[in-house]
Amino acid sequence: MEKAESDPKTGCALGVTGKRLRRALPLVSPAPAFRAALKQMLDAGDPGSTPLTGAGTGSAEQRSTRD
Amino acid sequence: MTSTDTDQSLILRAQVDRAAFGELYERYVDRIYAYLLYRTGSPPDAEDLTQRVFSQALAAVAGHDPTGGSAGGWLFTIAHNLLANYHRTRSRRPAARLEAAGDTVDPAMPILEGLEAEEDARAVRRAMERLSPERQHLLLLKYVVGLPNAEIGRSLGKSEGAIKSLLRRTLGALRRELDKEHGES
Repeated sequence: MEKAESDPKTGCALGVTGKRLRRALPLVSPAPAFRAALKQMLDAGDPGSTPLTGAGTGSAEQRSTRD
Repeated sequence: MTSTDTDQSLILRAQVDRAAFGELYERYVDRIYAYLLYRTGSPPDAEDLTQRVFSQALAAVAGHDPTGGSAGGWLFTIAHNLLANYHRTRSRRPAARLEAAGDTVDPAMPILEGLEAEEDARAVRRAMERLSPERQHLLLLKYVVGLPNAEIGRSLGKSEGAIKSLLRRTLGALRRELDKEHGES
């Protein structure tokens, strides 16, 4: 039987299904360029003024209506 | 500024010091983005929504009372509300492309083990997609975001005990879906 590992945040034992879930749902990071650009905008205190993603394509909501 | 700052003290400092907000960003950006990616299935949309989450948080931090819960819970409430608008506009169910969203294999794994791990991960994501959107949301908050049960409860308007019990039932449902999948293959 597979040995259960601990949840790093809570210290509680993870069941086999929990362990498989953690592997199936990895922590995916945003692109480094996006990450850095957003940090820069936050540091400047104006993070909402320019969409960083797909310049000229509008927001997620606007894009979705065109899908 | 230290990485041992609690969320609460970090928010209090962020109310007067923008560098502290940057620390909050570094602490949560990956989890916020991953959560949004699993809920939208679209990297550009996840980035766009991530930007909005932190933009709204920065605008609201001065008036935010950090004693009501963790910064994670607060940021995920913002993300959850933005997602609700996003899905309303899209008129489709959330997490429709969960299976494809997490296609990554740890490059350090031997090839065969990596393939087996990826096959298992896909099976788990397929099984998860057959659960209700509410149950998928719960699993993402628990296993991607890593929120404690009490925090999930606050964000969903339920008690910690109710979340614990819901989580147990959800994991049971997921196991049954995985068994079905195993039986079909």
